[in-house]
Amino acid sequence: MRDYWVFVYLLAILCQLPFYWTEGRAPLSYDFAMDDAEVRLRQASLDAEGLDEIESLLSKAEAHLDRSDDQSSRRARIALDRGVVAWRRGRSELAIEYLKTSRESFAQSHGPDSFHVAAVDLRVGELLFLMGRYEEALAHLQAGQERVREHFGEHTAFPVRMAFREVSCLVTLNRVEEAAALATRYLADLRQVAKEQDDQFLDRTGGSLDVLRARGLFPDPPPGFKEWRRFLVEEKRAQVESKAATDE
Amino acid sequence: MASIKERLSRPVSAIVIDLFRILAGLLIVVYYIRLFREFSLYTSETGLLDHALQRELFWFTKLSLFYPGCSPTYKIFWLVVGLLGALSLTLGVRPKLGAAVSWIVAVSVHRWNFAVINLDDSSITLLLWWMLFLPIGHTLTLSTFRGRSDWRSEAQRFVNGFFLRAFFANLFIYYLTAGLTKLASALWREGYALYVVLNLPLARTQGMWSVEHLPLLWLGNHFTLIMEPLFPFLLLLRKGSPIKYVGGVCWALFHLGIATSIGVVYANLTLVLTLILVFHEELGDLIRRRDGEGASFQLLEWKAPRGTQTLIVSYLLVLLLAMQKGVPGLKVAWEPAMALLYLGGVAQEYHLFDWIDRYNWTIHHKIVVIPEGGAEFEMPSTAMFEHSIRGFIVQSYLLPVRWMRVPRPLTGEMRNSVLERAAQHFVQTQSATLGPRGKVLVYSKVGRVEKRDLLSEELWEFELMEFEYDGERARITFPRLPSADREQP
Repeated sequence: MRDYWVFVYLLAILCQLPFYWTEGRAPLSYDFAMDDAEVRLRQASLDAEGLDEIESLLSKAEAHLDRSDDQSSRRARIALDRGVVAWRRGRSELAIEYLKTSRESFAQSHGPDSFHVAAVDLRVGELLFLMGRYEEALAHLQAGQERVREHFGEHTAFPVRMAFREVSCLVTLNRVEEAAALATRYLADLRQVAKEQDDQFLDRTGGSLDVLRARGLFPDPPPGFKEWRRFLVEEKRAQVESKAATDE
Repeated sequence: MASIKERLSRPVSAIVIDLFRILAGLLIVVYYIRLFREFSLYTSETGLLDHALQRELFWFTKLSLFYPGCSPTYKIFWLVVGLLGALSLTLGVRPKLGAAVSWIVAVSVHRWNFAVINLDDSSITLLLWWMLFLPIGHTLTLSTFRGRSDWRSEAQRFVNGFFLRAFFANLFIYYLTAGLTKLASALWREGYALYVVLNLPLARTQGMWSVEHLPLLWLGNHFTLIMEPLFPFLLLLRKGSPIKYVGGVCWALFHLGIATSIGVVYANLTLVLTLILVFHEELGDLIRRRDGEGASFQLLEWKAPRGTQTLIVSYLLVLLLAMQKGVPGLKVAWEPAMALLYLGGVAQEYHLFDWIDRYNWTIHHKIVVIPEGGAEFEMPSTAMFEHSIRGFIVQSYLLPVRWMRVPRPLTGEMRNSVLERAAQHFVQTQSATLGPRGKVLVYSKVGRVEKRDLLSEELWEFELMEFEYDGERARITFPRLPSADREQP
């Protein structure tokens, strides 16, 4: 018998395989499909075909959840990603619908005060801002900020970005004193995280800061620059170049 | 090939290996005692871990001796069986059977408590796994202690050294992975890592280190960077080499230093114990010298079961692949290799503290109790989460870090379960202080200990939760949880 111990051990390993196949197929397939979809979603440019493929991966992930009768917040994540796909297709209304579904689903699975609800609120706010629905955007941005700041820390990239979306909203709604106070509070952080932001965001944010400056509520940009808009984009370029040089 | 095998199989002193067996066995016994002590916190269904949720998040942990709904008596029974296995290993009474039983129970406990498993636990698995292969139980058994066998004659026994040298290969993988991967960390390279580690809540000496100690800790940081990858090369030095002795002292001081200042006691003591094997020739000579003159060399006819050598070589190859996370060209292999190790009940992870740049989060709580009709008072943070590595790991699920890779976005479910269970456990264990009814507010201060904020001045504070208690029942009122209408655990 002693001579068969290795055989018995290997058999014990093999015997586990059907169990892992049964138990792991749905969650693993879901994870693979979602990871694949999200890696693609992070690409800067995506054509219609690429977006179709992402949609199909999300549908595949959803089918795995249906098969395993999954009641967790995984579905909220699918709705969130569908929202981003719709956004990138330019179908903003549909994107808002998906994001709100995701928010609702997170509220049910994590509770209404949860970080995920707050984070989706901020995304909804940002999208509404880009659609020009400033009042609604402001409500969502303000609803989510505090919880997200508690989670990541207020000086990190995501809360800072959203703070400046709020600034831009307030400027557009002519609530300039509030906007100036918020912008002053997070200006140093904005400069820190500029390298992680897209040019359109920096351009629009810089424009809002220039409006505040023109009204005498915000300081001038650093010497050598006439506009915040120009300064922020240049600051980003300098940071990116400096990082690349350090990496080399 | 045959000559390599022959070289690897050179005889080694049986008594030294059994000395290692006894000390390792004692460490495992103490580990089991710790499992009993921690039973109410982690293994019990009413502890800090929601095992049903955990089995959903980590579906691969379901295959275990424990299952949801099994009674505390059933769980304690298996822990007792594991402890008895460790005792039989220590005493040398059917030591391999004892090791096998203890290993199965330990692996089951690790799967059951997967969310809080760390290096301490996997070191015990490692020890038990190697006890299945090392040529143990030929000397220093219960018979020796009863005087039925003379240790002097046992000291002359030698056994095939193949598995000892295979264990050395495991140590090579261990130290090279732990040592070299630290070089990828900016905090380690810049000399701040040790300062950061010692200021995290997982460290035993947290709060004792300030920026004034930075020069000293910079030295410790670089000592680690230089010495850790070099330790396994001691195994290649000839018997009695002065460098080997100096290296051995550094090895022991290094691990005892970590055990004292940070913790991870079982892992570090395991590695201190391996010094017995590293110095097996020197120790063997020393013991035989005490035996006096005249005794004769005796090579025992011990043979491992068929296929064991192939199995262990395969294990070492798979282990090597499992440590290639992040290595260009080989990183695709780490997950399947780790899965294979897991299937075999011997999952190991030697990326030690190279994660400090990502997991450098710290968390403190202020617990304010407002008893009904009484004056409000504060309680220490440790009343809710113990100051230990497991305690820190549980709290990591409240932060934007995940000790075990909780699938996104289920971090929300995990966080809620930790909040609910921490509140419930707090109420049950502190009932004498809390009084019959009242309210508890928990404020947390969190943030990262990093180079630009070594004094932790940028930590931020927020309300973590609020709950009411009535007797030994807690009901969370903030944040609003989806389970608010559900029965509390």
